[in-house]
Amino acid sequence: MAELTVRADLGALASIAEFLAGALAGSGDDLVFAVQLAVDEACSNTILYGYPDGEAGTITVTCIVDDDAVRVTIADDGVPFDPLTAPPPLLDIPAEERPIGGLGVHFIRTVMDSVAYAREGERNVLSMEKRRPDSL
Amino acid sequence: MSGHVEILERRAGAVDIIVVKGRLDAGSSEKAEERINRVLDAGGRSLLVNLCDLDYISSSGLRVLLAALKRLKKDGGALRIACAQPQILEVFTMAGFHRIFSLSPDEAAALAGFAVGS
Repeated sequence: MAELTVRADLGALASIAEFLAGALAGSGDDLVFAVQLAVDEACSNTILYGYPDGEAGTITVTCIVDDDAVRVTIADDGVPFDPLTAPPPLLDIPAEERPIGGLGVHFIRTVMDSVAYAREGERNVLSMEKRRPDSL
Repeated sequence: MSGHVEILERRAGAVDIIVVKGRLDAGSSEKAEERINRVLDAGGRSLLVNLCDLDYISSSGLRVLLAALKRLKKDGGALRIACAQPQILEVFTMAGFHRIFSLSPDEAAALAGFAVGS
């Protein structure tokens, strides 16, 4: 198991990506990219909207890799927020009319095989799983 | 924080070329947006965004490109994207953006696209 705790700051996103690249080394570029995207989108939401009163907290990313799957947990101490309640984006309407919101969660749902949210005490916990391609 | 993205600007005739390298995430997209807006504020109406050396893009990066596309379309301009790598293209496709952006395999093809109108 690998674990990283960072301050909830946009500058930490690149560090989180590097952490995942290390934790998933040898798992294939596509899997690494997919997990990086899902975690980046989730952490971006937390950093941008999770601390409306100004004082940034911390985000802890945990990554467990076994033969079958990659399991990532993102825990933060921001305001209670379930990203999975966001409505799906409208992907087929013209560019001029498209709202941009909701895309991040759409990416998470698309690249991961399962996503679950829980509020545990004072923390939001987002658990995501992606099966490894050679385990299918 | 924007230390993980590098943005270069060039011109080829009437086309403004913006090269975005590295990571275009929520931490760096504001810098990219500022640079693109500066070009558009200066009157640029043909914008080529070169993504040959872009390693990563998130929905924040797509938002910046979409804002530029909307602004250019409103002003009668055009935006073309050159040389997005497979994983970057995958993100465009997931968002449905492959249908609303002109994507060219390389910069020369994108420049040729401006020549014939887009």
